[in-house]
Amino acid sequence: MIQTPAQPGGDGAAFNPLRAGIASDRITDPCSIVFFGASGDLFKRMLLPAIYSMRLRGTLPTDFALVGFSRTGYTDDAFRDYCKQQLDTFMPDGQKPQGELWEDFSRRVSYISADFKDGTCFTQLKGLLEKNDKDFGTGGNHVFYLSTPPPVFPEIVKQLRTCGLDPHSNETGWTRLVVEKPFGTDLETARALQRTIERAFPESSVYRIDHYLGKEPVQDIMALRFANTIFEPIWNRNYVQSIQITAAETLGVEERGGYYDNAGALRDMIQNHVTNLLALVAMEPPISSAADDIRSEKYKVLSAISPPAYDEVGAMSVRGQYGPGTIDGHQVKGYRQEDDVAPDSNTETFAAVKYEINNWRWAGVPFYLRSGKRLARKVSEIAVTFKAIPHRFYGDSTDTIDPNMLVIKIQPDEGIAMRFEAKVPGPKDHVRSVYMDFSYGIGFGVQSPPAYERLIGDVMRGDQTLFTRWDAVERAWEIVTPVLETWTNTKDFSFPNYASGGQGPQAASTLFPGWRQL
Amino acid sequence: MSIDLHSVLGEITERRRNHRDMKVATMTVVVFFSDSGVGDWARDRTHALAVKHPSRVIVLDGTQDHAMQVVGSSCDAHADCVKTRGDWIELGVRDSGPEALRSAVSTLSLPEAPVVLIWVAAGIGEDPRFATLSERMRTVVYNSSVLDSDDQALRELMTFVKAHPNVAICDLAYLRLAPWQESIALFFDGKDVIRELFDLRRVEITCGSDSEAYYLLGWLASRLEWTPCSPNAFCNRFGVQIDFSIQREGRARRIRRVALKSSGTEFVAEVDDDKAEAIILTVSGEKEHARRARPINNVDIATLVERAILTGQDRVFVESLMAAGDLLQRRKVNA
Repeated sequence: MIQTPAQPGGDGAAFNPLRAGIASDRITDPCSIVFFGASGDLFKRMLLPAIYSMRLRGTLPTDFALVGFSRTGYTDDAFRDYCKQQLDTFMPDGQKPQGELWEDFSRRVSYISADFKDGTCFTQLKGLLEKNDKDFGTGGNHVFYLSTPPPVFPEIVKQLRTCGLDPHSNETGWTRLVVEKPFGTDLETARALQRTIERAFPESSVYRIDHYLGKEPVQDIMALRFANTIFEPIWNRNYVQSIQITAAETLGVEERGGYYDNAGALRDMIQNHVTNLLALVAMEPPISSAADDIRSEKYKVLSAISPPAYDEVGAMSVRGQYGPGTIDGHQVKGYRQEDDVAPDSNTETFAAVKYEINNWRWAGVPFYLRSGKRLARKVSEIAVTFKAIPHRFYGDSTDTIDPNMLVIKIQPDEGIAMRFEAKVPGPKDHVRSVYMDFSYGIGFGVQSPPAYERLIGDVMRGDQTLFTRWDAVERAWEIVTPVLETWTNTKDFSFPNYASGGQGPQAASTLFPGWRQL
Repeated sequence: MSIDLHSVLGEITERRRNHRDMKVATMTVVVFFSDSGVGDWARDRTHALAVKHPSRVIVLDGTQDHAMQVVGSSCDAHADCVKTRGDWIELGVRDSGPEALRSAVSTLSLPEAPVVLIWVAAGIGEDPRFATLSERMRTVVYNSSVLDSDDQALRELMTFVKAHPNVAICDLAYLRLAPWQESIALFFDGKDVIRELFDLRRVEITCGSDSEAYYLLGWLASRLEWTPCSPNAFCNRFGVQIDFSIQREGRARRIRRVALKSSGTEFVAEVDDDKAEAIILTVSGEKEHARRARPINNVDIATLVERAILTGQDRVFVESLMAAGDLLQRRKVNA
């Protein structure tokens, strides 16, 4: 019996009974994808490999075209050669570009050498996209991916609108805009960028990307909470003592000193990645898995966090900046000695904040967020510490009975660990902590795709679930603004205040003595 | 004859005590074979599965008597194995009846994890061991094309599925078709080309074994409401005849070429050779389309089994199997 199948994308696709029930992974519509900033680092390291990996897995639409749009002066052929070189460098063995698949892929790659302020370049782009529709069957569907430096975003969006490449002007297919982070540098610039975007693109066609949300363990937070019955009943103020979220790196600023010195850890990590993790951990159960049902719950929980008063900033936040030290046995220089960093820089490379969520579920439970560079260990995780037992009768009075802890490990070891107490074998009633440690690498045989691959596929399918809605972006900026402004306007004379390879500034332990050891 | 598991259980306990147990168990995998010619194949593929999924593997070797009992680790024969150390148990079951097998599997299975049966033997329609074991399984994995017995394995599978509609069974020969199904479906995506699907007049399949070809025909027939109207043709619901041909060529279990012809257009999906990485899609005639390539992604058996477990009872598979069975029946009658 023929039944109505789910169609790729759904926009005007004709009924195809062969699509019903076949084991096809994440079908997407045919489309052209335009990468603004295609000669940049993000494109060559992350985006191009993600696209090519999708091609190898079969998740990229077969009717597809890629357009590079950047200032560097490539011809189409030179850009194809450039793409091949980058894929040779960044794709793992066994997935290097070669054979029929590469030939087919490279035929679909073209390039426009452009000045972003020159409208004729966008007219040229429009013509190229129409040609792609004709030559490669891309169906009038266009993804515009902003991977340029953020100051260029508004100009590109304006030009797309002026040249009739906005969604309202597209009569044959769909048009989607992907905006890389950071979305603004503060609340004011974020709002200004949003005003520019919304003149050309409705919210339903805007995909604000935070690649953290494409990581499998991050997506598993919702599965852990809402696909099990054992966690949700204790996921509240009655059982949870505190929640700490850590995004720690051993790397310094590498070649990004110029960018980072104008950003800092609060803008670079806390305002987006870490706050998004908090929203996933703390939100209420959505009524469905529909993108806006989930995004509404995330926004609601952020709305329940009151931005601190300016005179409270000192008590609820800690900043730090790394000095010289040792990482993995190697001496490394301090932040102020990094390239393109001011020698008296006041930029924080470590940030820790304490938030409280003022709602029925979480009132009184502190959420501690920290992120930093040049710390002892690379780790991203969420640790939920449960309350202590109400009455103890095990062990001597000197025995410690640690509270239960659930750790959601995001990287580098993806998995979930549970700490609980067990009796030490022997005649005496001693207990000590033991761990159950689940690793994704062991538990599932199939490797999950890298975050960018997942997210680009979602853009092509029109699934906004893992992309941040404007109201949540704006709210995240509102929450962080008092801290940001206080730190910007006051110089921290203790900088550098932690050695590379350590746990961060001492003051972080004052804010929260219970941080997990890095 | 019952199976004495005393020493097997003792060895498993000893291995756990020595901290050689796994940290996470995803399933118990039971493998049965009765032909020494496929024993190595079955062991090798199950090893690959156990390396990816920390499972307890129970190999029921129908070529050996009950004196053969082995307890080891899924890592023992695999250099890739670093993290997972699932138990690997082999039992000689040549003389064991269905109840003895059922009892042994019940005793040795991990209590909390699903049990998957991989059956690599012919005669499932009449084999009470298969019927008894499969009723207790989360998923039964069959492989009609590994036996290379023309269409007999497919007929037996169809008979079994009809008699046991509640058993979640899948056939690796069908699961392997996924990239071809996707390629064929892709031909007809879009308003301007969908009409061609209902105007098809001929289907040509070139492949290395029969099961895949019959499954593809069964899949097309079940989706498009075709019924066999001669040994070499279907008719659609308007009575229009669709001829088909199967040419056997190339490696077993691999499709080489599928061509679909409507009155004005030819759609061809093909690979250059058995090791090709891409299916080349060409469309010529009235609805001509630029040449395209799609990855074959010949996924490993672990991935196929995982897909089978996730899918459970696959309605499209069952309908494709039944349609293939109707076709085989028609050909048999006419033969």
